[in-house]
Amino acid sequence: MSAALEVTNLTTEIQLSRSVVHAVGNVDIKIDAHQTVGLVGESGSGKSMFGLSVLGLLPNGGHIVDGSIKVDDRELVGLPDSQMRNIRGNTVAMIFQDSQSSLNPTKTIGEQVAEPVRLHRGASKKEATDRALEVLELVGLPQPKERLGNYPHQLSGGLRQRVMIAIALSCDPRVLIADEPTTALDVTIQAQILALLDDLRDRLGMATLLVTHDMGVVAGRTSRINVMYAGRIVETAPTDQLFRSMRHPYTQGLLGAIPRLESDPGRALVTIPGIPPDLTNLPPGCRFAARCAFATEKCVEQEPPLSGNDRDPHRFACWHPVDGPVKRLQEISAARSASVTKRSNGDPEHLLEIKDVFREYPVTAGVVLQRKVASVKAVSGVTLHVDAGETLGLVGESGCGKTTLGKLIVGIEKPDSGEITLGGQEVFKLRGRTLRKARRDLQMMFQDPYASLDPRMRVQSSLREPLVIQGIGSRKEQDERVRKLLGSVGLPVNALERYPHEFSGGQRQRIALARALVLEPKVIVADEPVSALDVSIRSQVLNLMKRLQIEHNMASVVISHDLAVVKYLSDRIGVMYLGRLVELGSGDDIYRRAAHPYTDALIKTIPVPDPEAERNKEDVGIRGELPSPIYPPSGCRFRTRCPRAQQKCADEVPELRLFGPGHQAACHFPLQTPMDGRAAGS
Amino acid sequence: MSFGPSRILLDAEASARAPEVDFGDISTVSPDLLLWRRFRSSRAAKISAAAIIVLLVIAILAPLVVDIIGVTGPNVRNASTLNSFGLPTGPSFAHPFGVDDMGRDVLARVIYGARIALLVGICGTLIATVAGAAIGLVAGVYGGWIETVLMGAVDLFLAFPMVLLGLGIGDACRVSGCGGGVIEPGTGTVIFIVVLCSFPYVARSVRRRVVSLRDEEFVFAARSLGASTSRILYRELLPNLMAPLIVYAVVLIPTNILLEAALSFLGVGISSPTADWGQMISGAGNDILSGNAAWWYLVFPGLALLLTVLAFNLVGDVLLVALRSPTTSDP
Amino acid sequence: MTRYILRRILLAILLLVLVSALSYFLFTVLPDADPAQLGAGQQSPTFLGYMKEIFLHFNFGYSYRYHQSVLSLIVDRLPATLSLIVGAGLLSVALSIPVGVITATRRGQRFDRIAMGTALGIVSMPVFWLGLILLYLFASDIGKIPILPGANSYAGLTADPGQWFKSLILPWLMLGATAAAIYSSLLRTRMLEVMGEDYVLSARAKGVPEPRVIWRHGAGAAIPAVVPVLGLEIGGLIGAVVLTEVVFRINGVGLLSYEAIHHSDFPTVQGTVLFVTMLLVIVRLIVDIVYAYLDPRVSFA
Repeated sequence: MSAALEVTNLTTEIQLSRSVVHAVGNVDIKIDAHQTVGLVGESGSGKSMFGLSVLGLLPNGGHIVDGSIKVDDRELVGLPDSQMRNIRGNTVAMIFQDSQSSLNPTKTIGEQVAEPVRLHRGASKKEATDRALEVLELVGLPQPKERLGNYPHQLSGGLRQRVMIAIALSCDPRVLIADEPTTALDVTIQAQILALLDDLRDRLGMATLLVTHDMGVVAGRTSRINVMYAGRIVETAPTDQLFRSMRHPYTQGLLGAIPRLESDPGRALVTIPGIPPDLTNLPPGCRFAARCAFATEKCVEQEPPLSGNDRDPHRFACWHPVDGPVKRLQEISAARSASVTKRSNGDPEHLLEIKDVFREYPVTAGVVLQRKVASVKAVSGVTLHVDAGETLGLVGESGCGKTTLGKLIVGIEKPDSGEITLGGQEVFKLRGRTLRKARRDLQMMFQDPYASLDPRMRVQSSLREPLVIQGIGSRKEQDERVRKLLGSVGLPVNALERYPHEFSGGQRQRIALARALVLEPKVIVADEPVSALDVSIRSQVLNLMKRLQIEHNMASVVISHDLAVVKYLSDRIGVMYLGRLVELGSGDDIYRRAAHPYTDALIKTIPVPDPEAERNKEDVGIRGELPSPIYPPSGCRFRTRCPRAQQKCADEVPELRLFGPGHQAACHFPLQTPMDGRAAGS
Repeated sequence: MSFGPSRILLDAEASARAPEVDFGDISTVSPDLLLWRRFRSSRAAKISAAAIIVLLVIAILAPLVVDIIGVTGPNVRNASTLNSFGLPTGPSFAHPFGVDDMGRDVLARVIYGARIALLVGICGTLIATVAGAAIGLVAGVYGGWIETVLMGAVDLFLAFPMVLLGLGIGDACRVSGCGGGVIEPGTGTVIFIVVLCSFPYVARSVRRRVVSLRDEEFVFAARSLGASTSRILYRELLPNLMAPLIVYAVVLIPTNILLEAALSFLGVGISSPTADWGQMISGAGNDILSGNAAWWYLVFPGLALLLTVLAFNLVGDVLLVALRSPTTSDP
Repeated sequence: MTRYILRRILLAILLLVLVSALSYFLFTVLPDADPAQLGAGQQSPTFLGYMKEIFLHFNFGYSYRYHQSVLSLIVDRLPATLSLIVGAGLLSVALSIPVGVITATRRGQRFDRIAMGTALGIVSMPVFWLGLILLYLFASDIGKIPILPGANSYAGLTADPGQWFKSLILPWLMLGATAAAIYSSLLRTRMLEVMGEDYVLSARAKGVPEPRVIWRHGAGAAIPAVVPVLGLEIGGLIGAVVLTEVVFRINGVGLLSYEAIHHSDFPTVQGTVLFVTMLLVIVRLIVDIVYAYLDPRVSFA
């Protein structure tokens, strides 16, 4: 039986004004009906270009140079555009990552879902709308009839993504290409959408290509995975084989670089030094050689072909393949765990205390005068503390308030009520010079490496600026400190003379980290420190942060939506939902003994790069969408999505209760037994 | 470099090093320099810029230029050049651009006309830019009701159509000046009108930039370091505004030159005997409509206007495009 | 949605009041001249009196030269100005939409370069100069190639439709070309942005034929986006309207103010400026409301 989609030796190039981008090179991929195949790679790997090539939607200057694309034995390469148009959205459909920008903001949902049907089936307006309704129900959109007249901006991210899927399915395609379908979504919604895709594939029988950078996403949903690097497929294997016994060093590195929930935080992550090659200027040999620890002269000179032939299930392109995952990871240090235990011996003085903090943002309305009609309840009554030398992690999905809390801690915003004290002093009651001095001790490292540095200041000035503002040290002393700091974050000295735009994302993040450290603060707040970076770069920065934590012995607060990252970096973790702290505890507490249903759901729905674990996952039963932070549910805010919710949850706000030393959770019907019935102190 | 088979780098220390790019061979380029480079790469822009400089020189040295060319001065009436019907004569060796209805040499008048055009265009724009920038900056930085009031005032001026506003003020101030003697009739009034009509655009653009800048993370970062508002103003905002400001100013100049010409054409700008392109076209128009087809003093001032404005527009366009391109390292 | 409209209307009313106040300041307080020198027949010289006259009595001044109220003068001349504006407006829309869209889709190619080059040339030209050149060449009485009526040949629509139409061809051309030069380049810029948006890629991925992608999805999003900018640009084009009327001697509101200046009829000048400005505020309000209907995002914001 011929495959639904069969791509052989596909090579795509993009002609720029002065150079040629070799986006895709000699790629073979085969997908049968009822099968999902994964295509994994980082940004710049060519995976998105591959999808666009299949549909014939390459950007200006792009064209397929070689190879064949067959759908049900029909050759697509070389087809005139008029015929390709009949195939797009009809036989082959594509789902894009960003549903916000991929839907036309000026047309209703109904119109957009009906459009392909009218185009390809020649349906009348009524017939098309009926079909639209049918397909919207299929994708599980609640109240589809009412939604037909809605505009995209009226729907949440998860619902919009369902609409995108509906559009793709409206004409019963044979092949579905899903390009990062869940990357922009929250974890709990992500699980829903992925399950939906699986279900649809089973029912409708499409050949699905799942394109993503997330190894966890492909682990449980695909039967075969292709790993792409710099435009080439470097390894392809059935899913289980890939994870258990990968052969290509890149695959090995990639899987080792991802922090996982069950990884030991005492062990360093595998790092892949360097950055991907420039696709306009490719090296003659293996494209991965520059970053590969096993590379030899042969690798640099000759490009390895894919091993074996078509019939081999597991193929890789490497002269010196490895044998399975990294066996031994280096221990970071015993020193760290020692210093942590030393402190937790009953020292009542917390370095940073957050007591019952509230922060709300007004929502205004009114014809002439803007009155406040409602408020976004960003942070509602959070109590936390951080001790010297320890790292507290804050994790939660969008709207949970973790970023706001971070801003409150650093003083960019003031809490509406509650206290934030540093070393016993309420920092934000201070004014003028004393406030400025106090700010030395609280520094922030921002998420977006591109935006947090002034583009017009050289690195040296950016790094000196905190010292200048605080009036510390002479010019010479400042320069000296800056130079040392640059070295400790792993950047060469001549970086000082450069401007931010000359650095890559990972390098900018190092500069941002250096700037946060230059005042030697007592507390650093890192807001999504690695989310904007590619996977293979992330581990570089994460290892660096770990090392600096130990060296400088500072307290830090790490904020992220990625629980694995938080768990890897933190001693204790706080889980937030819609402005409230729902659980607090050590990494182990959270991972192995989660008491709150939300924490449990988070852990269970996060895709892990382990096929067997993925397959054995139970359905945790998290339904629905995130409620609006303007009108959060009464009582326990999680109750609308909680499988254990009962009337009490709507009536009473649950208090934090103790479940073990340092382990608290706020739930009326927790998953663990509390230590005693009383509410916990802080 | 030689590679040897080795274990994957497990050492956290070593992996913290970022060995990627050897910085030695990239020369450092500030974002402003990038802008300048992009400008230079456009041939049209370079030619136009050169033309503008030549024009400026000619305008400043007008008497000298007229002398060198050897035509009579701009205000010298020479009845002998009129023909037997009392009508002006066209281009000739003595008067390459012909003479106007009062026997004055057109070439000289065109050269002197450049003075007014550039004076009003550049001076007026300069004042408008400074005023507009100040307003936009204060509005953007302080926000709140200050912003509302200031931008409300700006929008108020924007509600008036430029030429009509100019007509009204020009007419009112024509008799004996305005504002307690500060604004004199003639050139002073025209500059005043030009400033009133163009400062709102600068104020709006600057405010928009400031608002987007103030929400940028590097400003947050500076604030979290303890920087005061004035420091943020000077160190973070102002440098990032310089380049756009220059571009806005350059883009406004041609509009103001045309505005001045229109006002003079309508009679509320610069009047005789001072040479002014708009006024010359008006005079020529009257004569033509009454049947005396003296095309030369319609065409030449108009061409002068067209070429000047075109040059500024080209430079402005290229600068605008360069400004809006994303900052990357390749020019 | 209604809240948005209500808000816009209230703001417009506030603007009308402020505009009158500002014009009082600019035309009465600011000039150093003696009010008598500026011509008798002006409104009441006090601020409150001035405002009352305008808003309660719709009195924009009295022209002692024509012995008529300024408002009645304006109303008399309005039809001519409107003929000019409407005709030129239609012409400019008919020109700028195709030019804007096609130059965007054929970016960098010959058509684009020629069209944008021409636009640049037109925009750099003084509008009145262009008009005079056109007359010089084509006017039936004085032109080199007499084919169209010259200046001063305007006749009312009701009086002589044929003449009305013929006499407006050149002015329409002039005004329309100027407006089209501006709008088409605005549309082109916006169109280029829109065509790069993700939803255009999505539309293509659905198999929508390219012309439909360009016109329905692309232009459909770009054209409404240009509408609010129109509101801003209209002010500049009023100037062009005035100049056109002066050059072609069309008996409209623009010519009225021009003649008033040359006859030292200051009240007329002042009144006309204020009236037109206020009219403009109302027009912009209508444009905003229409735009709110076209783009559903606006009213929900």
